[in-house]
Amino acid sequence: MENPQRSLESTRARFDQLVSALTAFSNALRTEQLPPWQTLQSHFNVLSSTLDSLSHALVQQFPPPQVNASALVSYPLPSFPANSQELLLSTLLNKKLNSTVQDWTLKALNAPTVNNDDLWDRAREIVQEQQEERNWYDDIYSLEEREAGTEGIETGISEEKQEKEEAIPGLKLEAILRFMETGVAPADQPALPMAAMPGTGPMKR
Amino acid sequence: MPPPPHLSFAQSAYHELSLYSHIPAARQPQILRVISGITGMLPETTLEHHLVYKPKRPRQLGQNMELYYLQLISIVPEEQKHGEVEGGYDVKSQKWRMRLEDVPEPTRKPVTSRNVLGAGFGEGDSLGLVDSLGFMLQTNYFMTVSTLIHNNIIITLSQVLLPPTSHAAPNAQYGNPYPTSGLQPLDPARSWVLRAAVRVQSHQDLESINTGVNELKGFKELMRGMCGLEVVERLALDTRVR
Repeated sequence: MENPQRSLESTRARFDQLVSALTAFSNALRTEQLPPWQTLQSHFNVLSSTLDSLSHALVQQFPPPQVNASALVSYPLPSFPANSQELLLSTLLNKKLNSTVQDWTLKALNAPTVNNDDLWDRAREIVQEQQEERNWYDDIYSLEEREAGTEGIETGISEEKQEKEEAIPGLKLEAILRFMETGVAPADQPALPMAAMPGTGPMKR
Repeated sequence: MPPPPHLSFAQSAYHELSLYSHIPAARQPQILRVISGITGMLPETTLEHHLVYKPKRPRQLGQNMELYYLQLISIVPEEQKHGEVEGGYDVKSQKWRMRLEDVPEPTRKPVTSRNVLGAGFGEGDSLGLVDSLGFMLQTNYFMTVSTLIHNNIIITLSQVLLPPTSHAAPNAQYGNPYPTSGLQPLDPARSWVLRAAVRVQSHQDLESINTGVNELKGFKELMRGMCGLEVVERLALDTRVR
């Protein structure tokens, strides 16, 4: 928010636009006969673009405050009975962390950095564990269905699909694209030069 | 609303900005639903027939000129799908369009960028014409393509399919899509290719190019976490004949 006055002015203009667009839309709806859909759609278009630009401007010019607890300063009100409640007051105003929590924080801060890939691998393991623990397929019928017999109910889950498809080694995107462009079967494609360095392909042939 | 039918002889030359992503088979329905939600439209799914042509070598070997692959594309008509039993697919009577694609520009832009030239053949024997122009058929393949539009971005989710090889039928080298159940994915893992492309009239129109690049960047950001739209290796889209 570099120039608050200008920000406010432009926001006001955008709100004005929104109001006039809404008024026009409301007028169009109040006519005796409902206008054709093309007209309504163009109204919608105007409304949605106005709303979009408004929300964009709001986010840009009035960004949500960055709350940082350590930057906050608290004061007791004069009416607070400081004399009689000194202990409570100091507890309330104390910004230092509880010593156990402080230990955790320090430990976390000093911990060796975790490789992101390792982290996600671990997450995947956990998710897989959870997935396997749960019985996904035997418990998909309602009581009603079970009483009526579960034969022939389309569940959308076929036994074949449960097999892990990832076992098949697939083609790479490049191989598919090269086939699409040149018709050379993936098995016959010569290796690309310098494929090792993505983003730094040769600028000239 | 269906797109207006192409004029059968219309020409189009444009500059294409694009980003690609590899979609595993298992995620394709989900991705399609998500994009459908973003664009607010249902995907329009067609089966395309692609013929990849390769120029026969010119006589003057001394000439140092690049040769490019040429593609002929037609949409396998819907109504013929019902006639699968008769196997009635006449490759010669399809409405073919020709497409010539340039090698992507060597650029530092965050998108793939290249010139594309397209033209319809109108009436007549287009396959014979291409043959007489000195091209020979390299490959044929089919492609299931779902198209969606988001602002100026044309989003296609496609899977390359190969027809069963048979030499008995006439015109077998062109491939027959019927029965469609006989088409097998090129990729044994049945993966899909997601492409987001913006067409700009000219690569000199910097303002439009920037708009296009920014729209693609925005879409990439929007799809983050769903799939990674990336600039693909330039030589993977190389259309020059080696």
